[in-house]
Amino acid sequence: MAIRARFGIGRPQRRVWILGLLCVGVPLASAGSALGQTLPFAQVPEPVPADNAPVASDEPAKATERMSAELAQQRGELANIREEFSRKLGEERAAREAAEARAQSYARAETEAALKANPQLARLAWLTVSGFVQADLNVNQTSQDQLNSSSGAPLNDNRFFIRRARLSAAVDQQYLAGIVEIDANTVNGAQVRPMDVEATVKWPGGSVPLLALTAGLFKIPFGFEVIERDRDRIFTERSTFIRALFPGEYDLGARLAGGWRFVRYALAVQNGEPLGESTFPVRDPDQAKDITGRLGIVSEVAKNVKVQAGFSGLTGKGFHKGTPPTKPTLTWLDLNENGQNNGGPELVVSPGTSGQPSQNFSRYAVGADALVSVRYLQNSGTTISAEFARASNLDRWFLIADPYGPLGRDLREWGYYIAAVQDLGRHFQLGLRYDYYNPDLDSTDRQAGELVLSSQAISTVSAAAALVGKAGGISGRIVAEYDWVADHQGRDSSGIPTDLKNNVFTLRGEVAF
Amino acid sequence: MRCPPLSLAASGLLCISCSGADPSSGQQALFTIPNAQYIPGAIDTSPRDPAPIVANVSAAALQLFPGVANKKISGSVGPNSTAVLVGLQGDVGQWVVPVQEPDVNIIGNYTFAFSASFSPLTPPTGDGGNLYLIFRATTLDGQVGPTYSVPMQMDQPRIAGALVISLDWDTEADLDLHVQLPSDGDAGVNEIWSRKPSGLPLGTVGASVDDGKQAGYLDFDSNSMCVIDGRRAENVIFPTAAPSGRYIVRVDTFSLCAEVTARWRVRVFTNTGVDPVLQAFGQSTDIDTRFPHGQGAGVQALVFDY
Repeated sequence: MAIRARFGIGRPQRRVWILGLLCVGVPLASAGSALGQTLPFAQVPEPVPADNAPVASDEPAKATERMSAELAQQRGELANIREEFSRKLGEERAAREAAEARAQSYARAETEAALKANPQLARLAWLTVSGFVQADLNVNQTSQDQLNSSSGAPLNDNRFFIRRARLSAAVDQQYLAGIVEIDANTVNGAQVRPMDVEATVKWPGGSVPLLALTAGLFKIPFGFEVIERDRDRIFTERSTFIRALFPGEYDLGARLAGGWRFVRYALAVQNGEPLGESTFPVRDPDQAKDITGRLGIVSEVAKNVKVQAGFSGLTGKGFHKGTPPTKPTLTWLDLNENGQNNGGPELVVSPGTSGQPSQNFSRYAVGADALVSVRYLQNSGTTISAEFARASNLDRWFLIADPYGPLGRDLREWGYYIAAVQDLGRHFQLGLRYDYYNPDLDSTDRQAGELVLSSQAISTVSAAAALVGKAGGISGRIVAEYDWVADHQGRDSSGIPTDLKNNVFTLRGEVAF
Repeated sequence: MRCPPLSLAASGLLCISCSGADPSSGQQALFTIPNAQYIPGAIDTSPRDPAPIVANVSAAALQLFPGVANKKISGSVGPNSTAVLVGLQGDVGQWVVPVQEPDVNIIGNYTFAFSASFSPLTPPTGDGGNLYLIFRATTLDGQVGPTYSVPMQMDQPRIAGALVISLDWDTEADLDLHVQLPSDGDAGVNEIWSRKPSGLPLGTVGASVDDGKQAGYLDFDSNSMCVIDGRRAENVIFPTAAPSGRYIVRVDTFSLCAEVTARWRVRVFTNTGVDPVLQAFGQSTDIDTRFPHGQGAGVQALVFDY
């Protein structure tokens, strides 16, 4: 700081100053021995014992004067060199900026000429191509070198895989917008699928129109985390209850959305079978549609303080698959396990049954979300978000809800999360999230012959740390996340539901452009 | 609690929290109970608490063979029991089976029931030897009752017959056993296979089902037309006597049913024996499916004189 004040050099000029010092200092240092031959202190005599000290004379004073004169001369030379260096540096910068401006002007002129010459290229000017890749290393406590005995799927989850690889092309003119996004991943083997396919008409133009009518495959407008972009989230996955209620996030349908000042709204009519649903993903086995809506606000309440909040709701119909008719069958039960057909009670006739028709059932969800983001210092900030949802018969991933299934009753779901993300400068990010999900608030378990209320709730503490970098139009991130999962999927030696060891560590490499 | 060995060094992080139930499916154990909680480590047989007791255990048969599945076992445990620990003595793990309903036969007791499987790797006990299935009832407050042992005999499955030619394989492919019987003068080739499952010469009239069996028969066409039955074994059985002469045994790969390969084994047993008198091994690949599949089809596995 003292040096900067002395030479009047600010922070941006530090590099120039150091460079200048090097230019001057290196020749001086290399010439040191030669200069030293002329310096008075090179002729300083060897020290002598005190009792043999020579008589004092004016020689030291003269030497000091000579040294002062030499020093003044060198300072002058150094100042001249510095001045000349600064002048040349300024000339070089001016020349470089002028060359860049000429190059940009030339490139712009060439581009405009090419666009005029070719109308097809002119359309591409409206096109924005973007994408990202998330490659994961997963280490899961449940992993084992066995196969699922019913599905045949590997039970090992300690593996490298591509979680998401998205390529998106978007156009956005004043009243029209469109996007096509393709996802490739190797979560369950290699697959490529449409992810975000939207056609939008909006009025008036701009990023937040009053009215925007969209048709296609788009995110279900419920809450905050469903809508949040995967490339923005520090946590490797969404909260458990969001994944259970809205698996895959995307569904086919139409949406009316927009905003006025700080108010935002979205109302969508969709098939009700999201992309990650297990039975009929992005198909629709029933005629009823899910209606989802969100009403919220987005506002910068103070400088660098952003607030976002909203209420969401969903109502719709689920689908219970019927069963086909069966033919009469004859079954042999080896009751005495002797490996032989002994007839009699070992032969069971099962008469054919008529099929059972499919049925629809009602489902709904309500929820609320809030987010506060504060920016401070340079490139630092804190974001705190929370969200909850209360639903009925909406679980389509974790404990799939079907009131006409074996349980024969409605399943009431409840989930929430609270998360904090801390930006530490331009290169570091920390995140901590607690999420809770109970897929069946009325769950029971048989203990000691009696039916007792039990819990199937699962709660997860996710701690993530990210190293962030940017180069040109490309951003990269390395995220390490540990998930402590507490649930009731195991049983202790007394037969009572207990936590299963299923913590997960994920290391993610991400590049976005 | 002991942390499981994991293959990756980074997995050491996961041992930050080692409490909780083990997530293993327990498929590596010799004795398995599907959908039950697995606990690594052999079941403890040392005395602990005097109660709760295991009152009784019942199973239809205790003469088992390696690989037997869906073995139904049930029983009754004393008052205050909430679960039963079950395991094969000396096995690598044990299982937790919650109790079900109050026992109507013994007031205060509770019933339990499960279906279990024994690995094909379960060692046979041999004559007079036993394997012991251990049961211990537990309570909510952690009491573990006395040991209840059930002896079982584990023997290789044997098929009764004077001569048995057996084919089995390892994947869900459709393989067919063809056995060409000794030539009977001018009667032509007499072959037992899936389209002609009896050893009666072609054109035989008036024969009963029993006659057909006595002449030698194919007991089952496994995974026929890729309708997977999981049996993966076929036998040609001569119950009382088999014609003397030269037998030619072939294995026809009708279809691999989307499997990449199928490794097969042909064995010949005599007089209901446990150990084969002859055996041969081979492997089917896609090229084996391209040949005709009628009489005389397949690769030759064995030729022997009986």
